[in-house]
Amino acid sequence: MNRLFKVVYRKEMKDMLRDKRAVLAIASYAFGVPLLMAFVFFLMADDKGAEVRTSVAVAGLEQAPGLVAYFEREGLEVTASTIADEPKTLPSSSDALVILPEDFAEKLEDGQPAQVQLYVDDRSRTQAERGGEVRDALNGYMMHVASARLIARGVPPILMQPLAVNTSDLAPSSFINKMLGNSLMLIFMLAPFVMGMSVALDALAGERERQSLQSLMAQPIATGMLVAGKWAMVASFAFGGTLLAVTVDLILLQFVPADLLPFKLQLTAGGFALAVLELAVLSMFVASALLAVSIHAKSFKEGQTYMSMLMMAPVIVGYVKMYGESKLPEVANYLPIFADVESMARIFFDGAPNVTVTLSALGSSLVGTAICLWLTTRRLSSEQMLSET
Amino acid sequence: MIIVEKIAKNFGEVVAVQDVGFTAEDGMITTLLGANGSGKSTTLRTVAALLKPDQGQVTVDGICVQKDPLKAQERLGIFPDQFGLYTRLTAREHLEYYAQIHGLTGTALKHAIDEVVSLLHMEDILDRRTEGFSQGQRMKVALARAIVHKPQNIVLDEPTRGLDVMSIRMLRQILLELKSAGHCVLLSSHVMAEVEILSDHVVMIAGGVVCADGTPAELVEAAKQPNLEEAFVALTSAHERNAA
Repeated sequence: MNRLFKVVYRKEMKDMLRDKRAVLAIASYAFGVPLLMAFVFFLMADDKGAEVRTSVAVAGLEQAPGLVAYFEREGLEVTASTIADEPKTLPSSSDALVILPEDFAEKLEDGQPAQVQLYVDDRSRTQAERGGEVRDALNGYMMHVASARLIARGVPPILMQPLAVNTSDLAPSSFINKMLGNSLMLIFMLAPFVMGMSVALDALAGERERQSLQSLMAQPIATGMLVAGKWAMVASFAFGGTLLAVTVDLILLQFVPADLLPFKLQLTAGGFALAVLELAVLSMFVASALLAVSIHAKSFKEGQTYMSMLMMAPVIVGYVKMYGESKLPEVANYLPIFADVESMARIFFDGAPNVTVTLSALGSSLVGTAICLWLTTRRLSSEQMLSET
Repeated sequence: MIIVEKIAKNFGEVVAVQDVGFTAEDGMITTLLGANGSGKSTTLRTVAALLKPDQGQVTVDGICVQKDPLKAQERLGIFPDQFGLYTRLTAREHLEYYAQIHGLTGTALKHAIDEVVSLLHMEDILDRRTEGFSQGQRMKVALARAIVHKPQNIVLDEPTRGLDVMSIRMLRQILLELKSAGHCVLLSSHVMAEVEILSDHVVMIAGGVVCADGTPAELVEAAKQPNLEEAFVALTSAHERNAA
């Protein structure tokens, strides 16, 4: 039994390692995706370095020398602007625009609220942060003026602060951290699908297309053993390719400045070992699912159509997880890929696994593997396979 | 020896085989002769344990194919109607794969490959990948693959289809050598000349039923016709008239 498994596995590996399509799929994903990630980080990095001061353009600044002085004390670079109406964009090289009304000084003197308009541009993370700095500076100036007024009237400013609120975020990861982190996990989850697709197609749909199936099925080898040998080959490709892709990605992330990363990796050696185990089990499941699809195709081309539909599954799961997690039923945590994304995110970003989620990821993948292999063996044993060949 | 006993096989509403029975003896070439769609391939696939008959049974050297298909397949060498080679593997790797499935390893495996390579004169193509092989070269690999484990019974489904004259002559020679060595050779064909030259025993099939059975000479005599082709037409037509 063991001997026949090895015979089939060795033959399949030898055959597939000579398949340029399979090798190309692995190389393009393992090295192409990190390049794509590098490009995305390049786009995320603003032209300005971290040392460049936040610049705020102020329209009507001649009326507000106090505000300008406050801004400068807060480290902002202030420039004058002549824009008076609603602008379409921020002035060149400005991170925010403040428009002061013509009666700004008058209102301030009378102790009346002055209508100040702040324009920011949140299209990038850095710009959003710089806009936030200007907003905070405005609020700070407001408190500064209010305190001065109260002191002038003999009222201690502390009376205006009946509560001192300290906020602590109990979420394991912030939303943006989690969303972008889940995107990275999705890249890892997709890897076994991409790496195993071509070889899974060749192993069964290709066998039917080249009409070698009839000859093979007439040999003294149990169908289950044949499927097991082919499955082991697909799983080897899926896992090997995924491990390569993850390793290349992690090496690349070491070279990206930490302030450019939308998430903070907290991967430990033990966590990495657990992630490798989880990816191995996930690869086993993906290999079995790919074979269960491949067995239904009579040709490589037909199989590619089915595979492109199957590839949608992890992408949909990833997006559902990112945007609709709060609406997901509890059972989703026990499904393959759903549980894997969550479990891997905890390992990579929280530095410690959630044992329940990790166990459900491993368990659901193993159960899924058994079901898919049973379905594939059943289908391969059916007489319909040969009559359709 | 292969014994087929009154087998019947339907695919849904389609009746592929109604009543086929015959014995293919060792040391003889038995040919299933019939038109396209007459049930030859279904019968051979049942012998190879690829299909289960709805009725009847097949035994290979006394082993019931339906009860113990793997044991029966150990005693069979199958040459399918399509060669189905792996284009990225060499001819030697094909032979190794199939021989290993049949349990050959080490020296026994090497000897088995050397013998079949010598028998089929495959030395020049042995270590080449099969991509780009001619039809004759592909036939050699498929046949070598079927007999590398020295099965007692060899089943060939329309073996000469698509082959040139030289390849057909070579195949014919090899089948006669296998017969001389005491193997049971069972093949299907609709090429009269080939059947007449090769066969010791002809089983004529029409509409999924055996309509005549005997040596080529016996069939010609029974049909009172000048040759096997005329005899085939006469006997199958008579059967179709009776069935109607």
